[in-house]
Amino acid sequence: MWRDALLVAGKDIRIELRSRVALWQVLPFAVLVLVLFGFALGPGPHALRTAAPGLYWLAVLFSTVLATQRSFAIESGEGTRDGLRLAGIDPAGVFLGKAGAVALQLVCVQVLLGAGIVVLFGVRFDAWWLALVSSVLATVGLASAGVLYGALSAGLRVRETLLPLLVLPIVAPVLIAGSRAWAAAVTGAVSSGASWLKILGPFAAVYLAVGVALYGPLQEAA
Amino acid sequence: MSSRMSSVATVSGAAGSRSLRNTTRAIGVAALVATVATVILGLWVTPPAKVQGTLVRLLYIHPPVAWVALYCSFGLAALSSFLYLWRRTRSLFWDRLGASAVEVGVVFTGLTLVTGSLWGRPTWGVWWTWTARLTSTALLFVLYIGYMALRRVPATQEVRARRSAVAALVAFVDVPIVSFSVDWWQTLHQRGTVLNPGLTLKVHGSMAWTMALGFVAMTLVFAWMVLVRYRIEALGDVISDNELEVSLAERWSEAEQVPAAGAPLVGGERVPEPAGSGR
Amino acid sequence: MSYVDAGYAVALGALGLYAFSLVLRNRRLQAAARAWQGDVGAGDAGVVAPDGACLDGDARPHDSESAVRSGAAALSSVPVLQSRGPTPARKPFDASDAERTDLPSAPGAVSPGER
Repeated sequence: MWRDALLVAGKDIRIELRSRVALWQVLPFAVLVLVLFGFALGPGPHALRTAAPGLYWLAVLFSTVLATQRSFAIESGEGTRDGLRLAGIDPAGVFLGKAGAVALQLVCVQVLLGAGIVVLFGVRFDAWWLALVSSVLATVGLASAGVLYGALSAGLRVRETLLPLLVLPIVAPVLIAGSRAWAAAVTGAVSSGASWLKILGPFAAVYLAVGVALYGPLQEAA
Repeated sequence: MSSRMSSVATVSGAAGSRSLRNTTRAIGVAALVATVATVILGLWVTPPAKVQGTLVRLLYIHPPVAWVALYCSFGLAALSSFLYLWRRTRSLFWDRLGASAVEVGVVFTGLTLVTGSLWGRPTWGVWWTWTARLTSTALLFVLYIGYMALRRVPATQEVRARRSAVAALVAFVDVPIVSFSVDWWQTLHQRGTVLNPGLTLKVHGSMAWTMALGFVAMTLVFAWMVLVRYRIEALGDVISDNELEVSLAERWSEAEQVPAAGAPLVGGERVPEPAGSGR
Repeated sequence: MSYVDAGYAVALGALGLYAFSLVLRNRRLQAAARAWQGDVGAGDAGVVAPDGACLDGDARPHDSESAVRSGAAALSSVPVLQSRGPTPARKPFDASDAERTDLPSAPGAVSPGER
């Protein structure tokens, strides 16, 4: 399973490196979202600085939807998905591989967004590590949930509008917990912030497990 | 063979006539000299300003870079896009020129934002404020990155050119609207002089000369970059045309060699499909 | 490092880097172009009338299509093309594939279809 996961992840990443869609579309989109938030809440710096953690996570969620859609769009060609199944690759491996590739993209997005809120919204971090840990956990959860629901909506024509509608409510806990954790990281209220990790961790674990278990049956059904 | 000849001509044509390449080289050298001169004058020869102190030295770079980004490159891009879309002057030359201008413009806009930020940090204490000018520039940056993303979507040269031209024109038309609304949005939050830096300080003597030199230098740099970038675009297009030609020819030869078991789908006649549509 | 120095460093560094990348891309493309035409002297634009791709070019937007059409039509040019110096290596047509009767799909098969 792990070898298959690496294979699939490698394929997805190589496609991305050649097509550079994430670089030219997903990353600029994330930055654009931040700028738009600036328009919505600015120009006074105070509102932006207060709202920054939540805005950051909103931007991450939107980028997750984009990255996941792209992850399945590359396989929307004729027979590609069937080819993947017939090639005898462990579906759990496919899930892990795709989730891994999406997670990698999310990491890049988050680094850019993190720099973005520091520069654009004037945020200063007190407890870096809290922000980092919460990000890592959240990324795993977001990638897993995203790929799982991406598979659900993969074959459908309405997937562009359906996927956000499916995924975003599911990852709402990540938004809530992530925002609170990052807000705590900014203000320095570490103990209360760390308690939110109790949501992010299990979320990631659960969706990872569910994905590994259900991806196979999902593929058969789709 | 005619196709071979056209490929030969195309390639050497795209590589550019000798005089044009010499001109490019000359402009490049001039740009380099002017830039070095600006740096030397800016960093060492000119004195620090009374109020702004040594920060004024950034004024030898930041406004010139901004001028190039906003007016030179995006203006050129808009003009090229219009000329491409206008039937009488339609030519892929304008499309390639526009694309080059936009790419160079994006680089310069990014630089405008960074140098502006570096100037703002010691002046206002923050890396970024949502002032009208900065905000409009940031939006412009993202707008034209979108253009570059659009250009990387696979398509025939004509389709890509048309799409890009429309995108550039729409973006350009948006610029005054954005500036106006951002200005208005900003004035609702007037906070006094701290957030309204405005480049109203007077520059005299050697400082004025240096700033003028800065403008000249950056414009020359822009010109050189656009010329080189144009050639890259033209060469790239020609090479992919040639690759397409070869692949098509090979595919046709494959089809030709289908044995008599079952008539070859081509039917013995060479009926070239309008291959451009399939690209 | 003062803000001024940082500003100059960033500006010059970025411009220099970009300029360097431009020169590199240019060189690489010119080398590839030269590979396509054998060793016709690069820059001697005297052979045939320049087409739309030329820097001093004129308005012929359908140039790529006509070039392609003429290339596909003149199949006798295939051996010429194949003998053309160091083109990217392509496998010669394998006779055992003669079973396949389907026409090749659109040249999306050549360039990456969905990028």
